[in-house]
Amino acid sequence: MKTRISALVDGELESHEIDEVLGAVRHNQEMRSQWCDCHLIGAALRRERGLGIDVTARVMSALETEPTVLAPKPRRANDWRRPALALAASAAGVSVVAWLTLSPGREASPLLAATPATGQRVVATVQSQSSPRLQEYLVAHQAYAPSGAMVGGARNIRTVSVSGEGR
Amino acid sequence: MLYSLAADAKPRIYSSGENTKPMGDREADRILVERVQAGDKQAFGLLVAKYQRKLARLISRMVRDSAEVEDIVQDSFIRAYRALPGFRNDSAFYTWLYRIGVNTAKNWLMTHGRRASATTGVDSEEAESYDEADLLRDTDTPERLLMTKQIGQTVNAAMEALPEDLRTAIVLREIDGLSYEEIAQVMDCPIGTVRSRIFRARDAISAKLRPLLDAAPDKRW
Repeated sequence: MKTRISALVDGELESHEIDEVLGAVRHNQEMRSQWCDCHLIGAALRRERGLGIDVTARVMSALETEPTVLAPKPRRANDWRRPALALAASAAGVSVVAWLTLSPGREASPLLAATPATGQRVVATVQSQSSPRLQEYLVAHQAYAPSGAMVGGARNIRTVSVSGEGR
Repeated sequence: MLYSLAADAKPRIYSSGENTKPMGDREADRILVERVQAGDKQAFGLLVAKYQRKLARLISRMVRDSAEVEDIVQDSFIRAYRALPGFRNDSAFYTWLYRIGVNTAKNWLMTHGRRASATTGVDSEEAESYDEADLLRDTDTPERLLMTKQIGQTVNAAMEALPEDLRTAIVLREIDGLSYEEIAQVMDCPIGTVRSRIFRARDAISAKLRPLLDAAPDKRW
């Protein structure tokens, strides 16, 4: 284990060994001292100044009162999926809008076009309702219809259209 | 004595596959940072032990008093720990840490109504290429200076007592900065032997240092 800690100091440990080494460091004070000594020896051999400084124990003691930091894990392997999904969603949205806008014969209900007999029955029913009495009633009460709102306007338009066909 | 042996070191070439390639210094830092971000405080201690002296030398260019330098180093590490969830490993950890150290020192100087000493123009990039040994102001207390001197003497004496192959291996690593593979080429031996020699050299030096360090005023981690 000590050989591995020495290799980790040099960045020469192989990736699959790191878990075991860090586990040992976490639980073993002697391993931590070895890590510190290795860095101190390197600094001394390079004739660096400030060899007497060692704030590690102070920092770690101060951190005992700090909440443990937890960062979200960065996504690495599946990063390509996000832009691909966004692109697919955009393409699907554009396709739906284009189909609704550009498709020929969208004004006529496809259901009515496919079943002409039913459509005639509807028209016939409406014609039978548009009697002169009803028309008078509608004209008389047109002023009370909600003209500002879209719903009221649409109702009147439908009524006039039906009346025209009835003549 | 200043050792250097690797005048004709060959360039670093990995003949083995990617899976057996060693992680490298920056990669080792990245792994430690990710451990801390996952809640492992002890991994942060390893980063503190690794970078505390570099950071202290950087800050001592801005602040003269050595006790204050230590306080600022400690404060910088605590700030770094708090900010670590936001660190994304886009830059090297030590570049990011140095920036925190410089900002902490500047804030400290502002709070205490002081101006930085003459060599304030420090940024993290400059700090890495800076020859500290020549320009660093010696601001240590007499006790710290004595400790530094004793550590240096002990390490030198231990080095002299090492067998030649161990001494060569650790000098190539620590002073010339060669990788294990390059050292293996220079010394004409397997990488595993290099790894073992460097460890044995450190172990022998460490054994000589322990009595001195155990008597040091700073409590050991």
